[in-house]
Amino acid sequence: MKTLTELRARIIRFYNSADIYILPAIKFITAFLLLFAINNNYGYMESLNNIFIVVILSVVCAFLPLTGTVAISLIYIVIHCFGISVEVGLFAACLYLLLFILVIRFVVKDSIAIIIAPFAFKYYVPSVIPVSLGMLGKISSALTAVTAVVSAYFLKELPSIAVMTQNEDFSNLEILNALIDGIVNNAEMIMNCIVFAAVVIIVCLIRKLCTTYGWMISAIVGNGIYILLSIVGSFFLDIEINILFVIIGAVISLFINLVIAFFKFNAVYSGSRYLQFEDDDYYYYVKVIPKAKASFTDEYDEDDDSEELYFMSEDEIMPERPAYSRNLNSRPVQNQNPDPQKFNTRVNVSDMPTSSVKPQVSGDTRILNKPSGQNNEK
Amino acid sequence: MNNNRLIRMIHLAMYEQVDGKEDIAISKYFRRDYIAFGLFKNIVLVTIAFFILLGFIALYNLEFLATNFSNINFQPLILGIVIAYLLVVGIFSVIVFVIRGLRYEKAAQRANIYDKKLYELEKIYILERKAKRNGKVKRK
Repeated sequence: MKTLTELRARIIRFYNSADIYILPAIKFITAFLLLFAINNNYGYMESLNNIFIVVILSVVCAFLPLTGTVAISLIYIVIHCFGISVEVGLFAACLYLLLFILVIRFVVKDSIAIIIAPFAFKYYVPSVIPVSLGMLGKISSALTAVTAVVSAYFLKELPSIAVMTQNEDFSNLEILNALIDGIVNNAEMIMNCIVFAAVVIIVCLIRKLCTTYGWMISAIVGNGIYILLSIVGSFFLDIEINILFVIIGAVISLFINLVIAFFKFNAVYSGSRYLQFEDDDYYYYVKVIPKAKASFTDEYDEDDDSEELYFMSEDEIMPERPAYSRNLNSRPVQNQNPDPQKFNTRVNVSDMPTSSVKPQVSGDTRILNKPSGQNNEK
Repeated sequence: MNNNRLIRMIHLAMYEQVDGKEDIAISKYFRRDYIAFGLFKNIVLVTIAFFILLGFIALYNLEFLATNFSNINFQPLILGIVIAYLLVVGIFSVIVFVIRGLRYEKAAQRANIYDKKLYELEKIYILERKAKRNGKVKRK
């Protein structure tokens, strides 16, 4: 366990110092895998089934935030739906627009789950979605879980819809009715929506309420609740499910969730930051590298949003010079500097390039500019 | 170079350029303008979503509508649609009002702390300049 913790601390330290290279690489790989999987499973538009398009889009996603990757993936899926027929494409576009307006715009940060959910269902590990959302998100992530289920079941219908469109016996209206039926009258989908929402809420509450080993307990209980609710739901709603697959899938999901918990728990992945500011005398170009604080305890509160800036007294701002005595042999005691460990940053400061000429700096200094329009309305 | 001042400047710059960009942008609005803008966007989006949903319902029941079009009493139907629309817009407006209000309060609090620390930094500069003028600190 100590070796794993040390390994994690090294990984976090490495990430914090080189995140400017690592983060785009991770985003590129994530986008590539998602788009490649979409092409393999729902590749109905022939012109998009091209590895170069996937690579180019993945490169674009590497420089966008994660929500950009989600948006591009959803647009990719809608374009593939147009490959089946125009009506199916329009239906997909309207469905995702509806989900965005009603749900996704309130829970944007978790929206990657909507793209991953179809593949989680396909590979029989669906419980990884609600348990991960519960461990990493908030209670509102239950909405993301429900949206992910709706998206997954819509995409599950696409192969049968593609077969129907090729059959001339079915009209466009019947195809659209089959699509709507697959979402509205699908008892299994409704059961999974309820189960996912319940698991997210329970996992979130356990993680927040339990102080000792909260993450591990929430992962185990979450997967257990998923198995129980799936079996009970299938019994009451008369749905056929393969209980063995559900249990095996939950066990595999548990391992994945424990790995996520191990890397995410009590670890800060803020990465280094590059700052630029000036005052009357100098330009400052600063790289700030956070220290790795990884230790496997339950004391870290990741929900603490308080902005703490070190507040100094006037003595620390301008320490008073001690009075000199007539005795030339005695040396005055110098005031202690504030403990730099308090700031938790290692600072590399470089001044302007060497020049004997003092740079012409305008009267305004960025750091001293008061934010305009600071309005406090009663 | 005063290291204490420098570290304070770095923390403030970190907030200004990275962590608190959104807070500073939000706190530039009046509270009512920020919420009103959110509500306006919400009404537009919910109206679009409502008509999409209405279209799906109409599509699903198209056969029924086509065969019984002449027998349908449109007045209660339209009244029902209007009431449903107002209900949906009302519910989402309340949600947006609460979320935006909370977001504004938190952002304004953090921006106020940032502003306070900025004034404290200005005090440090004033003290340093006074000290230099009075010859208490030798400049390198």
